[in-house]
Amino acid sequence: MIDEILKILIWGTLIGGCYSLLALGLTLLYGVARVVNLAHGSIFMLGVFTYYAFSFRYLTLDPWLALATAIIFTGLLGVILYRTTIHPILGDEVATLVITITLAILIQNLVVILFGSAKVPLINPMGEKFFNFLGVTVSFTSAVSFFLSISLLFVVALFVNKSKIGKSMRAVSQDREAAMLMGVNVNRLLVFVAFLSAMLAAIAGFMYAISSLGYFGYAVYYMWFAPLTSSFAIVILGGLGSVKGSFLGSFVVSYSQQIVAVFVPQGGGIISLAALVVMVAILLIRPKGFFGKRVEMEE
Amino acid sequence: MTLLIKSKLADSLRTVKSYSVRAYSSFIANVFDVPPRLLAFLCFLTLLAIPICWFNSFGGTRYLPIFIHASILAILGASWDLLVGRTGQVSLGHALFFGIGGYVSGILYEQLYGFSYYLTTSVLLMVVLVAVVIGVILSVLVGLRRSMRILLMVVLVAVVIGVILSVLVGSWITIPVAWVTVPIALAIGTLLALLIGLPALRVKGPYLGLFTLCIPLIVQSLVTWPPLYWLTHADFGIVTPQIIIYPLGTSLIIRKSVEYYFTLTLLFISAVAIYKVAISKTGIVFVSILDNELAAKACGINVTKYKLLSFAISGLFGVLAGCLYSHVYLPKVYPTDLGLTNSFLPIIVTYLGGLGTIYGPIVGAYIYTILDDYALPNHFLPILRMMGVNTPYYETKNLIFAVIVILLVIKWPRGIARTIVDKLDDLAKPRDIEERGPRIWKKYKKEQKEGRLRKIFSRFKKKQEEKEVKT
Repeated sequence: MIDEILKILIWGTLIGGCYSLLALGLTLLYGVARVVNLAHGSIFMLGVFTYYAFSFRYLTLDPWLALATAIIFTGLLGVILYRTTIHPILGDEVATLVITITLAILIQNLVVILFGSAKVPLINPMGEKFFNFLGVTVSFTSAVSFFLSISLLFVVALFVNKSKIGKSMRAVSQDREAAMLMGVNVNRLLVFVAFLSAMLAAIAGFMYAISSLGYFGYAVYYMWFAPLTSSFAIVILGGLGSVKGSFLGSFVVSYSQQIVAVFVPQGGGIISLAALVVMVAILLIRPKGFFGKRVEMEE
Repeated sequence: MTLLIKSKLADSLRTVKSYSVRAYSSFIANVFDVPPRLLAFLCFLTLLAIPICWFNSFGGTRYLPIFIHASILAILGASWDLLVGRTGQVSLGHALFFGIGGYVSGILYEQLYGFSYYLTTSVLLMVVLVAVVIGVILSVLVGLRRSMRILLMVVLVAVVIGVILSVLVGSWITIPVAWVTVPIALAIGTLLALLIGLPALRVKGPYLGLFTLCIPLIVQSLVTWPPLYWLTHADFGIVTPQIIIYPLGTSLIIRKSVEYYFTLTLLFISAVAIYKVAISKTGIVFVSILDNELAAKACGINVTKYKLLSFAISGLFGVLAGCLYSHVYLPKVYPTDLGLTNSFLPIIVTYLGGLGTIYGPIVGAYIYTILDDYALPNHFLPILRMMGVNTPYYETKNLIFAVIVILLVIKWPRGIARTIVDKLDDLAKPRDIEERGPRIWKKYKKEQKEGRLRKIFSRFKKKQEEKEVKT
């Protein structure tokens, strides 16, 4: 029993770090542009597949260089997708949802056409090592990813709070017109936020795919959906547009998923059910989430 | 005395007769008060099939399934359009309704009836009883009119009496199982739609979209979950009962044409029903919710009730489409029916035709299906193959339609059918014809107008003269 609880705590914490990065990009884009990006999971997947393409399939770069290139490339792709598809219909809720889900389908099918529908192995730049922590086997890669994601989170939080661009982001999320009057170039800011969110998604995707948090060093075309569900559960739990909320929510969701995976027989297949149950409960109890609407984009 | 009574009786009879005739004619007028274009389009489809049906050499068995599929998708698209285009409640998970009907029906067929083709009447009546009870609960929940509730109660009592009688007399009539399982599936689907509609009361816009997107995929993961294999058979799918049981030796062309007309009839009924709902008072309330929910609330509209009603109607027709797909088009239902692609289908179909028009998705469904089932695999794919592109068809097709939908949403949100209809309306306006038409036409119109004016003027004069004479 204690073993299982330890397992839930450790694995939940490790996965929570990865989820919080993913949810951060989502919540930033919502906070600034009021866009619910259903294609966020697909951008996450695109990050993984661009890494695969650069490191193995089309170019054989050094893994670290390939990773850096893939992250920037995915950020640029995110900007292109944002400018071409989401920007023209900004403000129309139905159209935004339809467009983003269509983008998700487009990217999934593009990935199948380019890379095939079978699982493809990824090169792990850190090598695969395991160590024992309180009786639970933890892979070196996932521990590194956890610390990396937490530090990235702090960097982004600092950026949002202290820097000029971060301050203008917060201003736009509070009142768009007033921010425009104060001289914030909203369109350029939105492009920047799209770039940042796509980059964060790519980093999260790489961590999720490479380590034993998610796919144990493989990439598949359907890997976008489960993270998308859980990240939406997180964002709804914390309130859309709240950075602090998404940080706390990611751990709640990852712990609940681990509980399902450990205690339910063959629960691995219905992990996303746990996220959904959390989401439905929150939607029914408190539709705006725990940090939503009242305090937006604060830390 | 007797004569007087007789004459009075005759009088009253006459009035009753005239009233009934009037009521009947108004009923008929109400039922057929659909836009003539929708009617014309459906009639055109009916006529279109005749040559295909009766000349087997033309390839009826090959082409009829395309039209069957199109009719099914048209129902699905129209139901989505009522919910999203008319009420503004975003549903990205119509695949749930599309898949759940077949699953309910198939599970009942296998687990309760053990693959028997026919069913005895008493069981049927028991089942109808259950369905009516569900209906009564729904009606109370949604708040139907009192007369409708009384009608439902009468039906309930009749069914109870029927059940008792049938149990007493014994089972003597048999009917296909599907006639029982499909109504149950419809009832359960409607109930499920209401359950999904419940969060919609508190949740708006993006949150609702996410919620509806997730549900069918979660159901899909439950269906493929190994511990439930005994019930759902995971990827192997469930065999569903046949709605129409043909006598042995019926040729394929006859079967296909019967299926075609069956689905077309159901398309006709559901399109007219959805259209009637959309243009009724209820439909106007739906549009008011779409436009401004707060204002609708302030006007004293019970927003809760109408949102639930919209979900229930949309869910009912969505399940109907799903049942047709998994009973008539295919004899089986698979977990992929609950997949994302099927949630995407009504979106493609509706945006092709035009959002917010009920006739749009019907036109869109035919265009989509002809492209998807005929034109792309037969004409587009060989070109790609010749060019040396060896991509799998399914993904290529999805890619193409995704691009089309994105372009439509951004550049041409009115869609094909709506643009054509708007053009026709423009042409039908006399003012526009005057502006656009040749000079002779203009002159003719002008004369006609003057003539009309003269006539009106003369009539007015006559009236005035009469008045003067009277005074």
